[in-house]
Amino acid sequence: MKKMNLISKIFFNIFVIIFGITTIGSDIALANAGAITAFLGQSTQQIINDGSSESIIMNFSDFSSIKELQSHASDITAQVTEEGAVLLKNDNNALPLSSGAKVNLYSSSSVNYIYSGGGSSFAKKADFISLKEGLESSNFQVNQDLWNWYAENPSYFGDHTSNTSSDKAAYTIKDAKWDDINTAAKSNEAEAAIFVLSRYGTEATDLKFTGGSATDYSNGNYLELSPTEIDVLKNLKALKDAGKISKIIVLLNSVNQVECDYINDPAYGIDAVLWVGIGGTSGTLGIGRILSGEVSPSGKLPDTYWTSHHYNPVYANFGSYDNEGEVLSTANGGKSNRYVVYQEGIYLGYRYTETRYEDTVLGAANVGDYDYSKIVAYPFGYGLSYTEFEYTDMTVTENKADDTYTVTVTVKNTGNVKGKESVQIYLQQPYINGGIEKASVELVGYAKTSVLEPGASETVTVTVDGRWFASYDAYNAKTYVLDAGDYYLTAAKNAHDAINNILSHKQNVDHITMDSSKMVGEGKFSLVYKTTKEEDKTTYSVSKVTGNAITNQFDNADLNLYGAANTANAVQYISRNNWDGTVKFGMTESHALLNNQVIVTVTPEMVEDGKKGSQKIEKDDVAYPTYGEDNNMTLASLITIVDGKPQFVSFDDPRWDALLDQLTWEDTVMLLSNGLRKTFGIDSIGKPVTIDGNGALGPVGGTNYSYNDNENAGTNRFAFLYGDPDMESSPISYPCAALIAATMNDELAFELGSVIGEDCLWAGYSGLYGFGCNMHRGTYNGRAFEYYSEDPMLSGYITASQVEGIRSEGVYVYMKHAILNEQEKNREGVNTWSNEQAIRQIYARPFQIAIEEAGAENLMTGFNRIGVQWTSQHGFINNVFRDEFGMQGFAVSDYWQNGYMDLVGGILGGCALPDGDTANNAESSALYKYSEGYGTLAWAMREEAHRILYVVVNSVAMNGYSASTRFISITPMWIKLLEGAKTGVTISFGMSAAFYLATTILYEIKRRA
Amino acid sequence: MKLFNFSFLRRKGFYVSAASIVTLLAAVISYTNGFTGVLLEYNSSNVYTISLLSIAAFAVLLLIEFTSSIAPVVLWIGSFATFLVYINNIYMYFTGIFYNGVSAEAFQLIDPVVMTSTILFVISFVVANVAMYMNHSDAEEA
Repeated sequence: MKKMNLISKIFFNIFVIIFGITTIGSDIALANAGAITAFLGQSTQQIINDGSSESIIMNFSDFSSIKELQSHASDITAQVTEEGAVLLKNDNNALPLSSGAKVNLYSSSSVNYIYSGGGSSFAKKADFISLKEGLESSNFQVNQDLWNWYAENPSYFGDHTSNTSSDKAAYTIKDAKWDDINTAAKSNEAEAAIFVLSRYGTEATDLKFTGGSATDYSNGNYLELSPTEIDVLKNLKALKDAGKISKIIVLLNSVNQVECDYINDPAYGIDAVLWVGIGGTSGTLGIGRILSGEVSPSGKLPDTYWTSHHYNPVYANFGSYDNEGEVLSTANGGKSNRYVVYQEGIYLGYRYTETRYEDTVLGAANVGDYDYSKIVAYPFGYGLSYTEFEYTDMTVTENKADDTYTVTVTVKNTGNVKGKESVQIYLQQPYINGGIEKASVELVGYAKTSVLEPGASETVTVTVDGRWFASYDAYNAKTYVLDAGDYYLTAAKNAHDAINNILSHKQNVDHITMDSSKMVGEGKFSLVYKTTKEEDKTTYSVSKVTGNAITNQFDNADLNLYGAANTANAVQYISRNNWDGTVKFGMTESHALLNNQVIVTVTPEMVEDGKKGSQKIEKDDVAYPTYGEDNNMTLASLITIVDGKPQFVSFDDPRWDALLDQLTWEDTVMLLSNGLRKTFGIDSIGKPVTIDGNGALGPVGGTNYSYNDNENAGTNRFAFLYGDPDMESSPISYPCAALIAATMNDELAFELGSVIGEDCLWAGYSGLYGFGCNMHRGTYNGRAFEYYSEDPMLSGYITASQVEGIRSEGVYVYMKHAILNEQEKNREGVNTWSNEQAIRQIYARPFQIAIEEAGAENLMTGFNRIGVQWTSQHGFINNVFRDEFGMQGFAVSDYWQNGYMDLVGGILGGCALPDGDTANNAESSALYKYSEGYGTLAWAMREEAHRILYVVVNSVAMNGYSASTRFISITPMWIKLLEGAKTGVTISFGMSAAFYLATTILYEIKRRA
Repeated sequence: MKLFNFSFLRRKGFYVSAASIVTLLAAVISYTNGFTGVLLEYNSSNVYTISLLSIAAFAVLLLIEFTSSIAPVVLWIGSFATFLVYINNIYMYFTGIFYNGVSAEAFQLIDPVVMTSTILFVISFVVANVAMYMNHSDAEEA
């Protein structure tokens, strides 16, 4: 019996382990069923087309194969670098290099080049065109020995792959010192030494501006030259002095601006600097064409380039700050005991540098000690060319009927080579001391010429919306206001040029007294248009798009308006009225932390307001919508086909009610509970599952075209349906957003959006989790490469063009991350505070322009909180994005996390979906229990369902279906197998337990006997 | 027939179980105190509830002569269940760490508290598994 007992114990032991692993494993697997199903390429819906109705053909591809598509995408990507790369310095016409020149490539980054950032935009490396290949394609002779040496010594490579949600992701620069480069090739004679200066960015963690690696970057600052880079650059200078090379060229391979103090330091002898951003798969081809002179650079900086970031006041409030007092985590499901305050208000980037510059020249009170030339290395919008352009004949026509201004400028190529030019239009509004904050110049439009031959001219036209003349008054009128005074429009080559033009006008035409000795550079008053306005507090107080009143919606995000009695949390935002008293800095010149951040003390009101929607919801008497009606409709039946073309289904189409009445409560719950890069399929109304690609820059994420080889991808998955031989390849990696912005070319951005849409079609995606509309608030943001610029207008118009492009393919977008998500540090739940003027005029504006100009449908909300409320439940989606901007689509959360995220709060706040699958069946959803007594919630759920269906029915997701197509939900095979296995293991476990217990009892009885 | 068993003090098995309990308690302390801040979302009361219940059950069952033989089995099941519940709560953390694949660099990114807790939980249930095959009373030896 003892032996039997031992055997039964061993069996029991084994089955406990199997049972435990199976139970937990299946729980985890089912919680991630959507992702696993997609990974395995299995379907959750069976589609039956009986052919009795005409099929909907939303879109055909413009390409016949993946190869053809990739070739076109590669061409567009190279063109973005051609037009986006910014020539910062070109002493003695160091560039272009001579035809067929010998070049030496220095730094490990020349081989370990950065083609894309990390995180959800991370792309495979296999197909990237190396810098060497890019240069050789333009007939340069690249020093092969030196290239080989770097390639064979990957220990010198910096880390360009990190992505983690922990705080420990390390950015490294590494690189080989001059003495380490163990080859004579380092000093081979060449026309040029090209030094590649790369900096990486990735999701979930920011770059260090203080306290970073003491070995890699001696001051702990990732965005300065490392000691090793200094060593190599100084030795290159020695090589140049010895006559072995004639030029030193620096390629800036980064979106995060490296501090520019080194560029004109004679110790390095740098002749030319070309910012190339992060160019994607084929950006290096564009670099070759620029260096060879085949193309003249025409890119313009999308950000201000500072000599040192310690001059940027943003860093007084950028990073990790713990709330004072009681933390909110207990009441709010965690992750809310940290905060950040956007204390700079509207004075972000050039809005700070150029405005304080103007006030210095004009001798404004309290302007303080401000030396523009010491602070700004290159202003926003700056960029040289191999040729020169002259602007003349600026005209402005005010169109009162549609409240726009038509600006025309003639651009003449006065140089010796052909080239393109981006004309930038800036606006200055009148600033009244102590009144609404106003930047001295704001970009309000731009246009790019075609290629102009030497001597050729072109007149460009820019339309400026009259709304941009108004500013938001959050504290008095609580709406947009047109202040009385003089307004200036100017055509300029960059932001600094713009303010100099206006200053020139003020001095020479308006005869305003100023200290012109403090001017840095000169302006042209002939390129300025001035108009005088009366005060107007009504015209812009209603939405031009929806007609709804515009008033404060972010009082609870502004510590000066939230909890008025709590003066301890009052914020002194940066004000033009008192630069000296309001500008704070975050670090010293040597990047030591100054701890000048705004202090936030938690109040009981914050704890209460910050609770999740499900913690605050109360029962009501509102009658529920109708559910489960048999109206014999399908989603496809809403589509009318005329001459073979499906017609647009309006959001207000009266047939929606009947269709929505067909939804059951369970249908609605499942639709709104599951959204992990998809929308859920609903058989009762013939709604197909749709699959969405993830990636701010394009559907990369390391997936292949064949990834969605199942029926969930519908009939868009051309790669699979056509059996394309290259279906195992992946979409190319597209350029970073900043490089696209730098092109200032809407047509090119449209083309790029269009080809990204094609990629989605071939890979089976109906939507894209992109484009990235957050602002470059601090350049240490790890995700800056996904975002366009420090300027909201440039970001908005370029986004709008990309959205129009992708929409032309029938693919919808989820612009992200709405809103106030400008740092990765503590992104999950961080309390973000700002003021309403800054929120509306800076942080929401890119989204606004893309929605209003291009009909962008959807949003992805941020991980963060606005004030104390999770972004999805804050309410801005309904109150601002829908009621004012006219957004008709839906919102999805950022990657779903139990705890502070909350389905009920999201839906009541206007966020339809979790970016996660939260329920395998309706009963297991957090929404299911609200089937009675919560009518307000039920109607909000119906509204969100309506918005999802509206977007899907007007998208490529309906390709190939018809009014008679039937959809039948099926359980994926892997789940069936898992459930079978679980049942078998449970039975075995039970039997082994019984066996063990029986033998134990018998053994005990026998032993006692 | 004795009702209570105190002979376990003379048995090596008991000390191996005790080592398992000490390790389990260390793991729970590491988990409870260390999973704060950004790790707070992975902190679940189920982990320490199950572990403490299993230790209590072990103690009670061991003291009773008739059930002393299954006490180490219950301890092992408890420590194993604790480990599984811990994994169920923390696996999302590891998906973040290994987002770009499993590598030596990725392992270096694991928070020391997570690493410590995980190792202690594993040691605890492995030691408990060994202990359940060792005698915990004189009666078992008979």
